[in-house]
Amino acid sequence: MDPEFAATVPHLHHRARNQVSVQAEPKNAAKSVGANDRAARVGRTAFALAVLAAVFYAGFILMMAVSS
Amino acid sequence: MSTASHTTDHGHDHDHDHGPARGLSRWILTTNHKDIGTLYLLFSLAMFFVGGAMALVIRAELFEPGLQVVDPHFFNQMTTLHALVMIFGAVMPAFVGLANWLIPMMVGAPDMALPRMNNWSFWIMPFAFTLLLSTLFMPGGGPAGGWTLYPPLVLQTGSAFPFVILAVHMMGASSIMGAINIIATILNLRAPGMTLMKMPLFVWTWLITAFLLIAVMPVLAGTVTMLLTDKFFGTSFFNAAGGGDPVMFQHIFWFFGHPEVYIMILPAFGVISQIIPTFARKPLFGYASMVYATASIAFLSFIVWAHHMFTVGMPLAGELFFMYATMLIAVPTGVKVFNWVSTMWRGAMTFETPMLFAIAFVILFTIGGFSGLMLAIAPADFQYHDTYFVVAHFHYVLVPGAVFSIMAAAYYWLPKWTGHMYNEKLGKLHFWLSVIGVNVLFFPQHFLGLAGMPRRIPDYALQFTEFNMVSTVGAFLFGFSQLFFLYNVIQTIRGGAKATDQVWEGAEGLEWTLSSPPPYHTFTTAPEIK
Repeated sequence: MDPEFAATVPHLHHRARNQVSVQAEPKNAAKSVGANDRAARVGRTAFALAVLAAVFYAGFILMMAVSS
Repeated sequence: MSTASHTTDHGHDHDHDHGPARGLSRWILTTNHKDIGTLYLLFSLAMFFVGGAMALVIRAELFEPGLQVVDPHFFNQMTTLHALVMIFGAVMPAFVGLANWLIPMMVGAPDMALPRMNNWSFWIMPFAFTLLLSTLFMPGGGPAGGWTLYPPLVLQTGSAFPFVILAVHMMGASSIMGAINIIATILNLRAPGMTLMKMPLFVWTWLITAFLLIAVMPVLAGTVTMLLTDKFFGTSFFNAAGGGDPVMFQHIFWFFGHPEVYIMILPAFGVISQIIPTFARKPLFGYASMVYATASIAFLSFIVWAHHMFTVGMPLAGELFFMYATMLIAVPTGVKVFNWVSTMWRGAMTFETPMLFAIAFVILFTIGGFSGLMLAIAPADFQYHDTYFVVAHFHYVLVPGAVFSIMAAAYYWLPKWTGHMYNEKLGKLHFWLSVIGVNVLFFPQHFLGLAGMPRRIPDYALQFTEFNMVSTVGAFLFGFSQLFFLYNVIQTIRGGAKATDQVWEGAEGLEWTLSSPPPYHTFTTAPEIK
């Protein structure tokens, strides 16, 4: 397994309690990847999209509250 | 279309691979995209039969004039819940299930970008629908004011009201989380060399759909939150007596509702764009134009919402704007239909079950598109509005459109998912019964609407009897023919002839380079993209 390529997928690194494994990965396998890795980019993308959704939700209610 | 291929050893490393857990906990705690895709698809199939049973109650009551089977209040609950279950419980989860199974395999990713959130996205759904369906047993019954939840009518709902609102919020939260996951996966987890313009069309259509979801599901959630505060906290967002405006609800609802239509049909376009090239044995005609047409349809879907409200009243300039903007959607949609037909043109076509469903999709969805164009004409819409013509229109878009594409996808990828070929004869029988049933069911509804039969009524005038009888016969034929599909799927999961890795002679793309069924973890090493 290429740790950098698979860095964003936690279950490939940390064996879930319910999962059987032939050979578990060391827990720090993903730590070798730098700050600008894909996991960080995934986190940033998800955060930005969540903020966008929250703005649409609260924005519409606020807009209606102000206009009515 | 992608010319990518995968040349590594099926993309998984046996030394570090582990299989799924055993027992129920595998399904409850799973973070694997294939498991979650399977859960979504099974949930969707269950909801398809629940919503279908409701449709049969509706059609049984409408078989002849008068009240025979159910009382009018229960009939109204059936029309409302049939729509909510089919939209949020059957069609949308089916496409999310397909996205979960296919997107990581198509872009060469090891899994979805946010696997734990993926688990949560799915497991919210059964609770949301248990909540929604439990309202049928509450004092005053379930919601009966139509899936559009228009106030002030919906505010007359009994004890069920807050439960319905919470269920809608939960469905919305699930969809938003799913959409965030899909965008994060496509933008960040593509294998090296898998550029955006090499992605399969299914991935493109889902990327655009996910942005639509993020833009409009919070709007629905905001709207129903305002309904809740109007009912229980003394606000007057939509209460005219308190200075609010009930028509404003309709504007906000359809700002969500019209893109929602495209949320249900864009992934269907993606599926059809995968299947037709395979069985025509030609690359997809006009790949780039397909991408731009999808993006154009998504953009236009935001500026046409008031065509649902022509009869509510608006300035002439507003009616003209929404009429012409709606008609404009026919252009990118026409590009798509042209490209599918051009892909088939002089292709070495064969007609396996997925291709039959895909061809039926192209023809019958286009009929739904044409009746949509008729409804877009504002002065004509004053005649058609709230009649069975509208029911015929959107069912042509959603049943032989969205639902047929899901069935096409199931037959197309089932051998890849299970490692077994389905029963082709049974598949074809299912197709022909479905295509005959769906036309007998919905085509006469055009005539009923043009003759003036209103929608959402349990009883009707005598002159509508014959077409209603024909429609009900079609409904039962279509409904019961789905049992062949269920049987075929179960038999394929349980066994059958071994499927090859490529499954279909003309199939191209990364998912077909994997074994059938694919390993539990795929692409833990980056595949090579040509």
